[in-house]
Amino acid sequence: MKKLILLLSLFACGCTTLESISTSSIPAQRNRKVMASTDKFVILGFNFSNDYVDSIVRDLANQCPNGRIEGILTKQESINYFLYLFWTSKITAQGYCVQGNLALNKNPRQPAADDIGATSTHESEAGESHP
Amino acid sequence: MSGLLSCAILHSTQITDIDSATVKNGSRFNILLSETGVNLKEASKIAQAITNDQKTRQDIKELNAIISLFQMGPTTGNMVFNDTYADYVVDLLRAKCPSGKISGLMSIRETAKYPVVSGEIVRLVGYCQN
Repeated sequence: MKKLILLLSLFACGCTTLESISTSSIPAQRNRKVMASTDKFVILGFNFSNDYVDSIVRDLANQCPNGRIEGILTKQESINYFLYLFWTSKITAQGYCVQGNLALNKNPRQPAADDIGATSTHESEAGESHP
Repeated sequence: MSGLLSCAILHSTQITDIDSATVKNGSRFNILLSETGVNLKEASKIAQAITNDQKTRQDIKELNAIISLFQMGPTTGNMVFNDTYADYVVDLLRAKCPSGKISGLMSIRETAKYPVVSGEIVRLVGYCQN
Protein backbone atom coordinates (compact mmCIF):
# COMPACT_ATOMS: atom_id res chain seq x y z
CA MET A 1 0.00 0.00 0.00
CA LYS A 2 2.83 2.37 0.89
CA LYS A 3 4.56 1.60 -2.38
CA LEU A 4 1.38 2.33 -4.29
CA ILE A 5 0.91 5.67 -2.55
CA LEU A 6 4.53 6.55 -3.20
CA LEU A 7 4.20 5.64 -6.86
CA LEU A 8 0.99 7.63 -7.28
CA SER A 9 2.50 10.65 -5.54
CA LEU A 10 5.17 10.87 -8.22
CA PHE A 11 2.45 11.79 -10.72
CA ALA A 12 0.89 14.41 -8.45
CA CYS A 13 3.76 16.88 -8.19
CA GLY A 14 4.65 19.87 -10.40
CA CYS A 15 2.76 18.91 -13.52
CA THR A 16 2.66 22.21 -15.42
CA THR A 17 5.13 25.08 -15.46
CA LEU A 18 4.50 28.45 -17.08
CA GLU A 19 7.76 29.46 -18.76
CA SER A 20 6.82 32.79 -20.29
CA ILE A 21 3.79 34.90 -21.12
CA SER A 22 3.32 38.04 -23.17
CA THR A 23 0.52 40.04 -24.74
CA SER A 24 0.21 42.68 -27.41
CA SER A 25 -2.16 45.65 -27.41
CA ILE A 26 -5.77 44.62 -26.85
CA PRO A 27 -8.23 45.93 -29.46
CA ALA A 28 -11.59 47.50 -28.77
CA GLN A 29 -13.30 45.00 -31.08
CA ARG A 30 -13.22 41.68 -29.23
CA ASN A 31 -16.16 39.69 -30.50
CA ARG A 32 -14.21 36.97 -32.25
CA LYS A 33 -11.44 35.04 -30.53
CA VAL A 34 -8.97 32.86 -32.40
CA MET A 35 -6.48 30.44 -30.93
CA ALA A 36 -3.62 28.26 -32.13
CA SER A 37 -1.16 26.06 -30.34
CA THR A 38 1.82 23.90 -31.12
CA ASP A 39 3.71 21.48 -28.96
CA LYS A 40 6.57 19.04 -28.89
CA PHE A 41 6.89 15.89 -26.85
CA VAL A 42 10.37 15.50 -25.43
CA ILE A 43 11.77 12.19 -24.23
CA LEU A 44 14.73 12.12 -21.84
CA GLY A 45 15.62 15.67 -22.77
CA PHE A 46 16.43 14.91 -26.39
CA ASN A 47 15.32 18.02 -28.26
CA PHE A 48 17.42 19.18 -31.17
CA SER A 49 15.22 21.85 -32.73
CA ASN A 50 12.67 24.47 -31.74
CA ASP A 51 11.33 25.00 -35.26
CA TYR A 52 7.93 23.66 -34.19
CA VAL A 53 7.01 27.17 -33.01
CA ASP A 54 7.31 28.66 -36.50
CA SER A 55 3.91 27.39 -37.68
CA ILE A 56 1.82 29.11 -35.05
CA VAL A 57 1.68 32.50 -36.82
CA ARG A 58 0.33 30.94 -40.03
CA ASP A 59 -2.18 28.88 -38.05
CA LEU A 60 -3.53 32.05 -36.48
CA ALA A 61 -3.56 33.95 -39.78
CA ASN A 62 -5.56 31.18 -41.49
CA GLN A 63 -8.32 31.61 -38.92
CA CYS A 64 -8.70 35.30 -39.68
CA PRO A 65 -8.51 35.85 -43.44
CA ASN A 66 -8.76 39.44 -44.63
CA GLY A 67 -8.35 40.77 -41.11
CA ARG A 68 -5.89 41.48 -38.36
CA ILE A 69 -5.26 39.55 -35.18
CA GLU A 70 -4.62 41.79 -32.22
CA GLY A 71 -4.38 41.37 -28.47
CA ILE A 72 -2.32 38.22 -28.87
CA LEU A 73 -1.65 36.42 -25.61
CA THR A 74 1.35 34.12 -26.05
CA LYS A 75 1.89 31.47 -23.43
CA GLN A 76 4.73 28.98 -23.19
CA GLU A 77 4.39 26.08 -20.77
CA SER A 78 6.02 22.79 -19.90
CA ILE A 79 3.80 19.86 -19.02
CA ASN A 80 5.66 17.23 -17.06
CA TYR A 81 4.39 13.68 -17.28
CA PHE A 82 6.89 11.74 -15.25
CA LEU A 83 9.86 13.07 -13.28
CA TYR A 84 10.77 15.36 -16.19
CA LEU A 85 11.86 12.33 -18.13
CA PHE A 86 8.93 12.85 -20.48
CA TRP A 87 7.45 16.28 -20.99
CA THR A 88 5.69 18.44 -23.53
CA SER A 89 6.73 21.96 -24.39
CA LYS A 90 3.64 23.83 -25.57
CA ILE A 91 3.14 27.26 -27.11
CA THR A 92 -0.39 28.70 -27.11
CA ALA A 93 -1.36 31.95 -28.79
CA GLN A 94 -4.83 33.43 -28.68
CA GLY A 95 -6.01 36.75 -29.95
CA TYR A 96 -8.93 38.67 -31.36
CA CYS A 97 -9.74 38.73 -35.05
CA VAL A 98 -10.49 42.28 -36.13
CA GLN A 99 -12.11 42.34 -39.54
CA GLY A 100 -12.09 45.02 -42.18
CA ASN A 101 -9.74 47.80 -43.15
CA LEU A 102 -8.85 49.66 -40.00
CA ALA A 103 -7.52 52.60 -42.01
CA LEU A 104 -11.04 53.37 -43.22
CA ASN A 105 -12.33 56.07 -40.92
CA LYS A 106 -16.10 56.49 -41.06
CA ASN A 107 -15.93 59.74 -39.07
CA PRO A 108 -13.24 61.82 -40.73
CA ARG A 109 -11.90 64.80 -38.89
CA GLN A 110 -13.31 68.08 -40.11
CA PRO A 111 -10.73 70.77 -40.90
CA ALA A 112 -10.45 73.37 -38.16
CA ALA A 113 -9.84 77.08 -38.56
CA ASP A 114 -6.16 76.87 -37.72
CA ASP A 115 -5.45 74.02 -40.15
CA ILE A 116 -3.19 74.93 -43.03
CA GLY A 117 -5.24 75.26 -46.21
CA ALA A 118 -8.50 74.86 -44.37
CA THR A 119 -11.58 75.89 -46.32
CA SER A 120 -14.21 75.14 -43.70
CA THR A 121 -14.69 76.24 -40.12
CA HIS A 122 -17.14 73.46 -39.27
CA GLU A 123 -17.36 72.83 -35.53
CA SER A 124 -17.78 69.28 -34.32
CA GLU A 125 -20.90 68.35 -32.39
CA ALA A 126 -20.71 67.38 -28.79
CA GLY A 127 -20.05 63.65 -28.38
CA GLU A 128 -18.82 63.11 -31.92
CA SER A 129 -15.57 61.20 -31.80
CA HIS A 130 -12.55 62.14 -33.84
CA PRO A 131 -9.30 60.25 -34.29
CA MET B 1 25.42 11.56 -22.28
CA SER B 2 24.91 14.77 -20.39
CA GLY B 3 26.22 16.69 -23.39
CA LEU B 4 23.35 15.39 -25.49
CA LEU B 5 20.56 16.33 -23.09
CA SER B 6 18.36 19.34 -23.91
CA CYS B 7 20.37 20.40 -26.93
CA ALA B 8 17.77 22.98 -27.95
CA ILE B 9 16.13 24.86 -25.10
CA LEU B 10 13.29 27.30 -25.70
CA HIS B 11 13.17 30.08 -23.10
CA SER B 12 10.50 32.47 -24.35
CA THR B 13 8.32 33.27 -27.33
CA GLN B 14 6.46 36.46 -28.11
CA ILE B 15 4.15 37.23 -31.02
CA THR B 16 3.05 40.67 -32.20
CA ASP B 17 -0.13 41.54 -34.06
CA ILE B 18 -0.79 39.56 -37.23
CA ASP B 19 -2.10 40.98 -40.49
CA SER B 20 -3.46 38.02 -42.43
CA ALA B 21 -2.88 39.59 -45.84
CA THR B 22 0.78 40.22 -45.07
CA VAL B 23 1.27 36.67 -43.78
CA LYS B 24 -0.43 35.22 -46.83
CA ASN B 25 1.12 37.39 -49.54
CA GLY B 26 4.32 38.69 -47.97
CA SER B 27 7.72 37.12 -47.73
CA ARG B 28 8.84 35.29 -44.63
CA PHE B 29 12.15 36.23 -43.10
CA ASN B 30 14.27 34.76 -40.36
CA ILE B 31 16.86 36.71 -38.38
CA LEU B 32 19.22 34.88 -36.07
CA LEU B 33 21.60 36.51 -33.63
CA SER B 34 23.79 34.42 -31.38
CA GLU B 35 26.60 34.66 -28.93
CA THR B 36 28.71 31.95 -27.34
CA GLY B 37 27.75 31.19 -23.77
CA VAL B 38 30.00 29.49 -21.25
CA ASN B 39 28.93 27.24 -18.40
CA LEU B 40 31.74 27.60 -15.86
CA LYS B 41 30.15 25.03 -13.57
CA GLU B 42 30.45 22.33 -16.21
CA ALA B 43 33.96 23.50 -17.10
CA SER B 44 35.07 23.23 -13.47
CA LYS B 45 33.55 19.76 -13.14
CA ILE B 46 35.45 18.60 -16.20
CA ALA B 47 38.64 20.18 -14.88
CA GLN B 48 38.16 18.40 -11.53
CA ALA B 49 37.62 15.10 -13.30
CA ILE B 50 40.75 15.52 -15.40
CA THR B 51 43.19 16.34 -12.63
CA ASN B 52 44.49 13.69 -10.21
CA ASP B 53 45.76 16.14 -7.59
CA GLN B 54 43.33 16.45 -4.67
CA LYS B 55 44.48 19.99 -3.80
CA THR B 56 43.98 21.16 -7.38
CA ARG B 57 40.46 19.74 -7.32
CA GLN B 58 39.73 21.60 -4.10
CA ASP B 59 41.11 24.84 -5.55
CA ILE B 60 38.95 24.49 -8.65
CA LYS B 61 35.92 23.82 -6.48
CA GLU B 62 36.56 26.92 -4.36
CA LEU B 63 37.16 29.07 -7.45
CA ASN B 64 33.87 27.83 -8.90
CA ALA B 65 32.08 28.73 -5.66
CA ILE B 66 33.51 32.27 -5.73
CA ILE B 67 32.51 32.78 -9.37
CA SER B 68 29.01 31.48 -8.64
CA LEU B 69 28.55 34.22 -6.05
CA PHE B 70 28.81 36.76 -8.88
CA GLN B 71 26.34 34.93 -11.12
CA MET B 72 23.24 34.77 -8.95
CA GLY B 73 19.76 35.64 -10.14
CA PRO B 74 17.30 34.56 -12.85
CA THR B 75 18.89 33.77 -16.17
CA THR B 76 18.09 32.26 -19.50
CA GLY B 77 20.87 30.03 -20.75
CA ASN B 78 24.56 30.47 -19.99
CA MET B 79 26.44 33.66 -19.38
CA VAL B 80 27.92 35.52 -22.32
CA PHE B 81 30.81 37.95 -22.42
CA ASN B 82 29.08 40.38 -24.76
CA ASP B 83 25.53 41.32 -23.83
CA THR B 84 25.03 43.73 -26.73
CA TYR B 85 24.90 41.12 -29.45
CA ALA B 86 21.17 41.58 -29.93
CA ASP B 87 21.16 45.38 -29.89
CA TYR B 88 21.25 45.88 -33.64
CA VAL B 89 18.29 43.62 -34.34
CA VAL B 90 16.23 46.64 -35.43
CA ASP B 91 18.78 47.45 -38.13
CA LEU B 92 18.61 43.87 -39.36
CA LEU B 93 14.82 44.09 -39.46
CA ARG B 94 15.04 47.24 -41.54
CA ALA B 95 17.47 45.53 -43.92
CA LYS B 96 15.27 42.45 -44.27
CA CYS B 97 12.11 44.49 -44.83
CA PRO B 98 12.86 47.85 -46.44
CA SER B 99 9.15 48.65 -46.76
CA GLY B 100 8.85 48.51 -42.98
CA LYS B 101 5.51 46.70 -43.16
CA ILE B 102 6.17 43.77 -40.88
CA SER B 103 3.49 41.56 -39.43
CA GLY B 104 3.36 38.46 -37.27
CA LEU B 105 6.77 39.15 -35.78
CA MET B 106 7.75 36.33 -33.45
CA SER B 107 10.64 36.83 -31.02
CA ILE B 108 12.24 33.62 -29.81
CA ARG B 109 14.87 33.28 -27.14
CA GLU B 110 16.54 29.87 -27.26
CA THR B 111 19.74 28.08 -26.39
CA ALA B 112 21.67 25.49 -28.37
CA LYS B 113 23.47 23.61 -25.64
CA TYR B 114 26.76 21.72 -25.97
CA PRO B 115 29.22 20.55 -23.32
CA VAL B 116 30.56 23.63 -21.47
CA VAL B 117 29.64 26.06 -24.25
CA SER B 118 26.30 27.02 -25.74
CA GLY B 119 24.82 29.21 -28.41
CA GLU B 120 22.64 31.90 -26.87
CA ILE B 121 20.25 32.71 -29.68
CA VAL B 122 17.79 35.50 -30.33
CA ARG B 123 15.67 34.63 -33.35
CA LEU B 124 13.10 36.77 -35.11
CA VAL B 125 10.63 35.28 -37.56
CA GLY B 126 8.23 37.55 -39.40
CA TYR B 127 6.46 38.41 -42.61
CA CYS B 128 7.26 41.41 -44.76
CA GLN B 129 4.81 43.15 -47.09
CA ASN B 130 6.91 44.08 -50.11
